[in-house]
Amino acid sequence: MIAKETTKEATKEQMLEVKDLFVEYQTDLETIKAVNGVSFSLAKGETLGLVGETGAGKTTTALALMRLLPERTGKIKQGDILINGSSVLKSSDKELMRLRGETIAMIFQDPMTSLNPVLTIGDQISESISLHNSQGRTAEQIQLRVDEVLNMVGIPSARKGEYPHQFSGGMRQRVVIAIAMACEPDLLIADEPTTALDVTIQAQVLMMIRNLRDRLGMSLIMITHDLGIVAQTCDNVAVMYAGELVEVGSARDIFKAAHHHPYTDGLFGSIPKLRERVKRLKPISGLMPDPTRLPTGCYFSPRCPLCADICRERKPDVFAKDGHKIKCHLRINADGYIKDEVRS
Amino acid sequence: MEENLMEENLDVDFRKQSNAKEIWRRFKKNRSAMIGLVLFVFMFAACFIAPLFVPYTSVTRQDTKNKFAPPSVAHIAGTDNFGRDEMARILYGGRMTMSIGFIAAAISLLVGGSLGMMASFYDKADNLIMRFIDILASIPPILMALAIVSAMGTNLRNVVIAISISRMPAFCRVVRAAVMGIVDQEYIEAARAGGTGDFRILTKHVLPNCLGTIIVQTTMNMSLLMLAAASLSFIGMGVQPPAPEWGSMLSEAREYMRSAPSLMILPGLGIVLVTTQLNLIGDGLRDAFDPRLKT
Repeated sequence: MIAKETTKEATKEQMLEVKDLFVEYQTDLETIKAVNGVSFSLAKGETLGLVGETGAGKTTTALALMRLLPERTGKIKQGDILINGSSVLKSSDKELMRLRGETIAMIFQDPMTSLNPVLTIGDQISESISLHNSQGRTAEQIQLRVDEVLNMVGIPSARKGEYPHQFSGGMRQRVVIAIAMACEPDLLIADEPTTALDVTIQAQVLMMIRNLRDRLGMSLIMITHDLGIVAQTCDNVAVMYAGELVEVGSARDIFKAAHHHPYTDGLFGSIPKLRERVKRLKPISGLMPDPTRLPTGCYFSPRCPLCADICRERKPDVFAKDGHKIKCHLRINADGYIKDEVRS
Repeated sequence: MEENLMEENLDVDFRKQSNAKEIWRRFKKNRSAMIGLVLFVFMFAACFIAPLFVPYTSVTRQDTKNKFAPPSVAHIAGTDNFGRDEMARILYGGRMTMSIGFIAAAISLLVGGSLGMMASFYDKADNLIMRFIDILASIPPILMALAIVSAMGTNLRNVVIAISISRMPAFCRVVRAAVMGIVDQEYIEAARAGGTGDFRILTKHVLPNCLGTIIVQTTMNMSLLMLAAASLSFIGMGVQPPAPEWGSMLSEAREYMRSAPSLMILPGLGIVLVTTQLNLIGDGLRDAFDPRLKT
């Protein structure tokens, strides 16, 4: 009883809830199962790291949150997405336009291509402000806000009349962030915001995103395949593989807990460590399964070093201990991990 | 300190300078485009200011005693086969040819261009619009213009309508191709993620990116449209005599090609010069509009 009460209270504060989401890309030739039953939630001010290798469905999940999947092919087959308690899937086009930019903003992966080359950066920032002008700002006030946002990301406001090609990669990513921040969204989705940048700029940009998040009290979804970034920024982590969340937990759980999903172990095995002397890194052998023909049973089974017979036959259940959830058959007998009825 | 000063000074007018002024600055650097523009402005002004100095009566007044007169003070370019002042006819004819070209280009661009945009932006409309355009395009432009003019009657308005329709497929296809290349770009997705609606995405994000292509297409087609108007007049289906038009003047002068070649050379030269100038300007504008080529 008591446990149920607390979970109810916890769900109240959630600004984002994704329930059992399935996304497919359908073409005439094939059906690509990009997201297969993803559920997670995010509280206000919290940061979730979405980790996984290329093609795991991280970006697809993010796009689905904003209903930005390609119209012709991308289909949400099942599940629901609740933002501040209301379903995104049932929203009208008008509500969606308000949602995008005002409630959720997104930082795209490549700052080289996500800015319009023929509009000045000032124009591109002021556009999102004037589109979501609930405070009734005048044109002058909008320009003041543009200056403010630019200063916030560390670009002199005098440069707002310049075009994207006049900026370096790191500066452009700042502009992209400025556009996303302009309307002070409740949720910021950062889709590999530092992949296209070099390491020193990466650190700056990450620090900036963190500072802005703390200052504005936003929730943040950090999509990345870099576990270092996760350690630096995230409260909670979801590890994604072949469109499924294989392990969810606090950053502490993911980095320090005794039990993991074999895939998470594999991820950690393939990054170099400063303190240990290792001759060779251990990569995860093999490739991600073809999303048009996913294996029966556990999707990770073809690559799993611990794979047992049951893994090839039956889909694994979720086992949880204090919010640390692992989707793997081999956790059945692990200490304290009990079957999570809600999810399985 | 210094940085602050700079900011204050630059802040105010920065935007205005970077649009129209910048484009003009870059256009000025292009020598051949500037030559084209200066010559074009000169010819355009000459033709359109002409009524202030030359009354229309001198275009139509016949003086049969004075046929094929050589250039003189009274008739700067001599007279034609009816003794009409050739210079006045060239000026008024240029007015006619250029106006037809401009108006027809504007109509083609507006109708064809918006069809092309819709086709590339809305999947469902694509097949419908493009197959319709294919049908239009399968008929040779001049033949179609001829058919339209002969069906609707030979007058100026119908000539303009006919040649605009005959050029529409070209505009539609070019705009569609240009928009298609832009719509898939990540910054369009980013704009949509910012809550921008379809109309605004089309007009504010897509259109400026294809502006270069559209402008070049328009200026080039303007010259083609002038040629089309002239050809229609040449075969007697366009502007009707005695109203002067470069094409019909060419056609009339054909009979006297050997005895009075200047009657053919002058309107021919007019057509050649104006179309060349328009093409040069179009090229220059394309370069000037592309901020990536900024120098």
